Amino acid sequence: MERSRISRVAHRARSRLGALALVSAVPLVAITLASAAPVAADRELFVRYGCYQCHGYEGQGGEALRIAPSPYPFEAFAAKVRKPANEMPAYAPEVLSDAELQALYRYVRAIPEPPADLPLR
Amino acid sequence: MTTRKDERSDGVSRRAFLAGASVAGVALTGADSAEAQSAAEPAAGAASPSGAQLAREHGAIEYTAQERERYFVDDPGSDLMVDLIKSLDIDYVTMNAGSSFRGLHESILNYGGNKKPEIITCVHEEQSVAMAHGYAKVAGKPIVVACHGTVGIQHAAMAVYNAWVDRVPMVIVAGNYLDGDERRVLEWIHAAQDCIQPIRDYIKWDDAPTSLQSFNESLVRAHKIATTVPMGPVAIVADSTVQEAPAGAARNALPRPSHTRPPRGDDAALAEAARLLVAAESPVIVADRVAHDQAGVDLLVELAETLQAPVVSRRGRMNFPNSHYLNGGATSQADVILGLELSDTWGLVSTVPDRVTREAVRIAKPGVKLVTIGTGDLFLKSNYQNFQRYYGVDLAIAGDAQASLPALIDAVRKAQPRSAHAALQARGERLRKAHAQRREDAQRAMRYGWDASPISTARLSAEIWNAVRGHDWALVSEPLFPSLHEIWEIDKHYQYIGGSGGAGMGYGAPAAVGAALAHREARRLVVNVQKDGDLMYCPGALWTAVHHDIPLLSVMHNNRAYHQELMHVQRMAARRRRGVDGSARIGTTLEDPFIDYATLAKGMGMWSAGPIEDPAKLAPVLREAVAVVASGKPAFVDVVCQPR
Repeated sequence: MERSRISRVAHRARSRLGALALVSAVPLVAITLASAAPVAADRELFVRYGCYQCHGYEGQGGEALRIAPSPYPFEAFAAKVRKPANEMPAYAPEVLSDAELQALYRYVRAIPEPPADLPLR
Repeated sequence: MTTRKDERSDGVSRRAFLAGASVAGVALTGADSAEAQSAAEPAAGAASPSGAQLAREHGAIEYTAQERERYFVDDPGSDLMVDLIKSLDIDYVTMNAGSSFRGLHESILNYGGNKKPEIITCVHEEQSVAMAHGYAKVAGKPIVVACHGTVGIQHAAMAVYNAWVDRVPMVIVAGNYLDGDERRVLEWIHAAQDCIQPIRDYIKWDDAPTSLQSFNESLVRAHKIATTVPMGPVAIVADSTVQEAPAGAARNALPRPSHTRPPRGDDAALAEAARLLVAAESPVIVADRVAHDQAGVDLLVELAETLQAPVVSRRGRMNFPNSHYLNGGATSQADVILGLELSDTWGLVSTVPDRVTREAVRIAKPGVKLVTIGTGDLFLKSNYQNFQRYYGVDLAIAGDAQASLPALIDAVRKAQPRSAHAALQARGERLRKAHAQRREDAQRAMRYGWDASPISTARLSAEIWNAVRGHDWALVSEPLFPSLHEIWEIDKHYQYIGGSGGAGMGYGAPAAVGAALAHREARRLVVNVQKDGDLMYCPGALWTAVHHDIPLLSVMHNNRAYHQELMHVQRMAARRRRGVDGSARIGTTLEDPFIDYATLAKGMGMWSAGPIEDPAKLAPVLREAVAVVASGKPAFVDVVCQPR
């Protein structure tokens, strides 16, 4: 039963990866300059690949450091994901393609700065 | 103490003799006194007839000595146990009822009047123990946990382990049926030759006395051992025969309770520690389970200010006000570290990151001097080890840290040259600025994800803080996210009690209820930030809070997962380069369906709200919940949150 559930999850993942193949065609320069609102598909990828687990859904930090709005250029972001210096697990290209990595970066970059003042009473 | 078997073999037992004598007394004086009582009572319409009326109508019932011995017990042993518990200033007995201690249970009710100690009804022994754990950390004294010696002890085990690691005292009284000759059928499977064996590795002491006099002495000894530093749980077997048979001569020899004062560090060693600290350029104090009460906090503040040294709390207890400018910082640049009541010292200088190759990484400055004061070396056991690798400290001082602080402060003052004043002031100023910067950074960091749903943990911290800050509040849980300690101002000892110790799930809810029970008399607004996975181990604690009118605000940090485990599985997947795209959720998440915790709480009779997913709705709901708690009732708010 558990095996069949794993298969379903894997199947869903493969389907989504198919859709994301389109993302990989986006040129890197367009990604790094983009500042539009986060794309739902990018956010879904961010969640599915577990980034939210340590960095929060909005990249605001929690168990690990805040990563959004990203202060890093893409190259630095990619290096931290592929070859992290700290305890973050390394995400190899076999499981997280370059195109997906770019989509994750696009999501992080698109998260806007929060308001300067909070509505705390 | 004479057992039932002894009495039988004696032919005419002491019990029969006493019974016969008292029968005569009852026959003569019982009717008189009942009649007198009846005459004094106003006419009560259809009220039950008095004993005297019944006797007039049906004739007096008399029992022979043998019949009396067969039907009744005067002066049962468990009455004396209650006297002893009262003498130990124990306010409560947490219990899930069990036949092996039915004698004690009845004595608490009908002999002790269910007052000091009062029975707190629990629905699981793990809850009984965790409640005692939370209670002791607030009240500063133990309570009794009563449980079956067999099935109850096994249920209790996990929570006892937490208390052991957390150095928290409690007295476990375990019912057992030691004499096989007297056991009824079910009692055979609820009896053990050594019922404390499952928990012996993580309690300080236990005993299985077979007479009432021996039980009395063991109970008082157990209480003394539990409350002597380093504190911890103890367990005493209360044999059912001893509970149910007459107390007899044991009543004439009630042992007098005594308490052991905590040991203080050696003066010469403290003077040496003071010299090292005074000579240091960057001394840092690391405190874990230091402050027993507010005096401990005040002493640590005095030491820190005298040295102008930052205090890093490991949060085993509330040791130091987090709004104080010397609170916090890092140990990595320290040249002298003073460790107070640490269970581990190796972790001050090194760590093992969670990487494929588990290589230790040095985190302290080379040549750092390490001084420790604590009681950890005074009592250890082997099977469960809550320390890391061995590290040879430069100066280890055996003694209770709080008890040693006055002498250490004096020694530091004596060792400080007048010329050091300017340097101390400059260091203090640097630390003041760094502290202010950290608080400012925390406020700034809180803004990120402020309007997110699931609700960010920083927003959860901020909204609860806003709701409670105007009250006399106390936090009785250890949230899994750092923002609470960064945003709240935790300045008084009673405002924070640390975590579970053993990181065993199921501590949160019952420990919070136990802590709230200890706060009840002071009418504080008690706050529990409750983890969702943890609640499902002992949800019945919510019912206990309602049943006993224990005011407590529980706010659920509901991340719908065993999130720590989710991260572990994700790490494994990434390491093995497979399945990082979601498979880790299987076996680690609490979804499909989501658990409706508000309905769960409501089903136990508790005021509840949620699940709250919109951050804008959080503040008004919390205000409402605080009003419920202020009225003396518990309240529960389920908040769907981000993981950390």
